[in-house]
Amino acid sequence: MAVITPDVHSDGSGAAEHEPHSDLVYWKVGGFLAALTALEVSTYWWDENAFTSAALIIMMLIKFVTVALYFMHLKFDAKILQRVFFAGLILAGGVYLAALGAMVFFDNSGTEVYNDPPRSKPLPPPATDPPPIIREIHKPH
Amino acid sequence: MTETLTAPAVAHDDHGHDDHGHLPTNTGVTNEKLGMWVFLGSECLMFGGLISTYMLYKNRPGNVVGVRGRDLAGSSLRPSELYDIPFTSASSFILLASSLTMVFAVNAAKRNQMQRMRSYLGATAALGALFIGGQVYEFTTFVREGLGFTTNVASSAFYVLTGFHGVHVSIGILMLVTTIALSLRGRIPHARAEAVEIVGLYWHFVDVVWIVIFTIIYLIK
Repeated sequence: MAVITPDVHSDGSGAAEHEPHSDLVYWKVGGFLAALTALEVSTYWWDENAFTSAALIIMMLIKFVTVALYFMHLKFDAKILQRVFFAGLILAGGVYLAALGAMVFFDNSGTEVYNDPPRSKPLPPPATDPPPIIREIHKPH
Repeated sequence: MTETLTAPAVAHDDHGHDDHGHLPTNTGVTNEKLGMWVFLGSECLMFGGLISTYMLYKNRPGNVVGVRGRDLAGSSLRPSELYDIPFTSASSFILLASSLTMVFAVNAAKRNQMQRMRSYLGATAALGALFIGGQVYEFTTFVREGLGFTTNVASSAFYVLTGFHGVHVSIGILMLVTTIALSLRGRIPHARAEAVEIVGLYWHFVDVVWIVIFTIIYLIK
């Protein structure tokens, strides 16, 4: 049985309506996002390696969460929205990664292109004559 | 077992309505806003599928075999060979700026500064239109270079993904223009400022999706 009690906290822990924030807060968030985007773009001229890819993914996640928390007001809205949104997002991300794994996205085929399908691996040499020892065994009498 | 839920501290009249004419909900969020969040959740899944598809095929343009071993790939040209990163970066900054103007519009609506709100909404729509113009230019350039929609599976996945995002931006522009028109006719009073916030949620979502597309599709080699 659920008992509903009024929320007396005004710290954003459950309030549906909240006072608008100062524009300065959003200028700061916008500036932070712009700086992060500039850093992302600069990686295009970096050497191509695993560190660059990891840095890009981390920066992407920070930008994603910042926009969701501040611009989409998740930080100030009812906590249930924040929990449902991020829990669903993490679950969906895991499912997509599993699906990509099942489709050999993360397999390194050994070619120049990282995620080539397995069939692009060098094929084994075609079957030739059986080795001499086998030839001896099957030698017609 | 007794479970205690917390209801939002919102002023209610004798009939249980809050200041904005909504019935109180035990989630602390109005049904309209919750509905938009549920819709955005489903959109996340759709874009997740499209992004995954592109990731699977981006390096396999010429490696798709159809029925009876017939090669389905027309050309091995990859979209990544044609990317113009400085140009796409400029588009990303434009979309980011539009998110900033959108948040200012929502703030102005909450402060009952309707003229200011309309100006910011107009600026957001203009920046969105600029982004779409950039996408049309990019698509046109790619087609001229020989990468059409049916050139290979990588190009199809690329155009479907970025095209769907473009359609979402276009729908967002329509929503913004409609909001401005409704506001001019007095249909969005201060009491209904949440309508602007809901449109803002959609617009920020479009920006968030672009953040992911820009990094995963364009920047990660």
